[in-house]
Amino acid sequence: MADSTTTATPPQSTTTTGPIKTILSKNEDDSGLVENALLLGIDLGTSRSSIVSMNGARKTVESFVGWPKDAVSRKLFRSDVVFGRTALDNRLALDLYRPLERGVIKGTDAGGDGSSNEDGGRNLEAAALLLKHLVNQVDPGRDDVLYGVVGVPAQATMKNKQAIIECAREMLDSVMVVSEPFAVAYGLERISDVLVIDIGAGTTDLCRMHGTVPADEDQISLDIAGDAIDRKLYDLIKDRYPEAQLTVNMCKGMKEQYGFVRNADDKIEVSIPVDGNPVMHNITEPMIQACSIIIDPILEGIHKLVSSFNPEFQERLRHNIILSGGGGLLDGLNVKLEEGLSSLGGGHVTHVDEPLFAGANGAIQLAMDMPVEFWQQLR
Amino acid sequence: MQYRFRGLKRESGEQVTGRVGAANEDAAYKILAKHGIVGEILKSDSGQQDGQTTKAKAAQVAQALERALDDAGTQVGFDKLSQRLKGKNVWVLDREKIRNRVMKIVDDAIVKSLHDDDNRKEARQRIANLLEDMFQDQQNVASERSTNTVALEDQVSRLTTVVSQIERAMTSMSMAAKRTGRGDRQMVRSSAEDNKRTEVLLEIFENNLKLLRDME
Repeated sequence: MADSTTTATPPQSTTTTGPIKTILSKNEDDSGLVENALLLGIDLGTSRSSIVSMNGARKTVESFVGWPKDAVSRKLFRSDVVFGRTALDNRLALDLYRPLERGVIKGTDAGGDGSSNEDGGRNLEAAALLLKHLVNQVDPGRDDVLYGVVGVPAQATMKNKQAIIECAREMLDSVMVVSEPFAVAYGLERISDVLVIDIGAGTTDLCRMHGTVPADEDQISLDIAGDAIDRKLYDLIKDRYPEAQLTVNMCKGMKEQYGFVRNADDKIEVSIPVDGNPVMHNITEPMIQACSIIIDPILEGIHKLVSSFNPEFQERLRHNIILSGGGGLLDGLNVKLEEGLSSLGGGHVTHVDEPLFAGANGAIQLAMDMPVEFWQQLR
Repeated sequence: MQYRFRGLKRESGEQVTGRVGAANEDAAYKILAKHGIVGEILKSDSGQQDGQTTKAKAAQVAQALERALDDAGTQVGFDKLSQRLKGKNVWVLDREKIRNRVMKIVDDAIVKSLHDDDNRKEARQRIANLLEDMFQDQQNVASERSTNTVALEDQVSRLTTVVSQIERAMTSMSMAAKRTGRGDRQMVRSSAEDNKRTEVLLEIFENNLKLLRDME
């Protein structure tokens, strides 16, 4: 462990002495304070959480935490708590929690989100356990000091951020939170004149980058995202096939497998039980309609952020739009957005190579660039 | 006999809930009245107690099952056995499978019995019937194994490890490449760009420091 009593250089002085020394620097000035530090980039998401470690390990887990309901199920799982897909698949035997909602821990909003205090506490506990599980997935060494950057939604409140820090500090020695779309842009080394659209399960975050940490007016958070698509798909399929035995979770699986917004000749047929018998259903039209509900709100958000930007750089911003997050995987979404942008003067939309890890990749990059003194002061 | 009740305090009208012990319902109402409570709902608590007892027993069943499987196991010379069975498909008793299935049956039966309000005898009978059905079918307690499947499982396990190692190495390499690339670019980067990056990192740090101080 690093010696916490050693005096750290004040960060202010670092800024006036040219390029900063990063945590991994090995030159003669390195005090060696954190030579055992393991840096982590974490994307704590509503649907999935991902972690990237400096040692190269990367993991993603569905953000579910379950406690066995009784002694019998505890015996079955051989554990006091179950995570991810296992928890979801065995939800009947578990008290299942999805601790994050709209990218933040449930019950941590100032005004409350309807969760009771007891539920809020349980969600906090679930989030802390999920984080612990994620960190354990990358096999940190017993003597490693753990420093992590955690991505949070663009417009997370101070309380939301503090709740995440509180959870993370149970496992990490030093924690920083950073806006998720900013982390994506930082990971791509494009922090100027870029507009990042991070489509998660709970929120769609739009963030324009202009070389600094984005302010509130640079970011828009939309409530319409992956979960809204799942619910819409459920409603549309139920309207069309009332006898189909369907759950929103099944719709989520269908979206992740076939989700698209382009005009396609192919048809999507899936097996859905009717009276217990598997029956093939054509869900092409409901799928396109459901996945398309995010297009107009996103276009509106782009228009707001571009039109309020410095006019000299507006065109550059429109031509540097990047899609990230699980929603960025929707087939044809970039093309549809480009079509929508044509009436606003045109634009170019691309998506990141690894939408599920883009946030965590950016977070680890930030963690590695962060000067050692900063980490020390946050311990 | 224990009863759960909900009622109102006669004097204040305040709602109260709780348990009362009495020989029968009339006696329970009388006790409540004696304590100044007007009983609204009175329910026997024995169902819940039965449920708890049944669940505790189920946990005991699980432990007993583990012990029975341990006791019933006999050590055999694996090399000799594998030589004798080389090339043949065999059915092997699968402890995990048995454990999972028995637990599921017991759990389902408890839930169903509580739901249907079975008495103890009916619940025991239900579990006994289901267990009997389960043990009658060999496929419920054993898994088919051949030397091929064992070898295949071993190979898949090794491959998983190798893939994981390669994945780690690739990520490390790509990170190293990114850092190297950035290092080269830094040489031709203007100091203004460096300062911009420094300012961004400092701002993130300061925001987090503020968050932390507010928490303290």
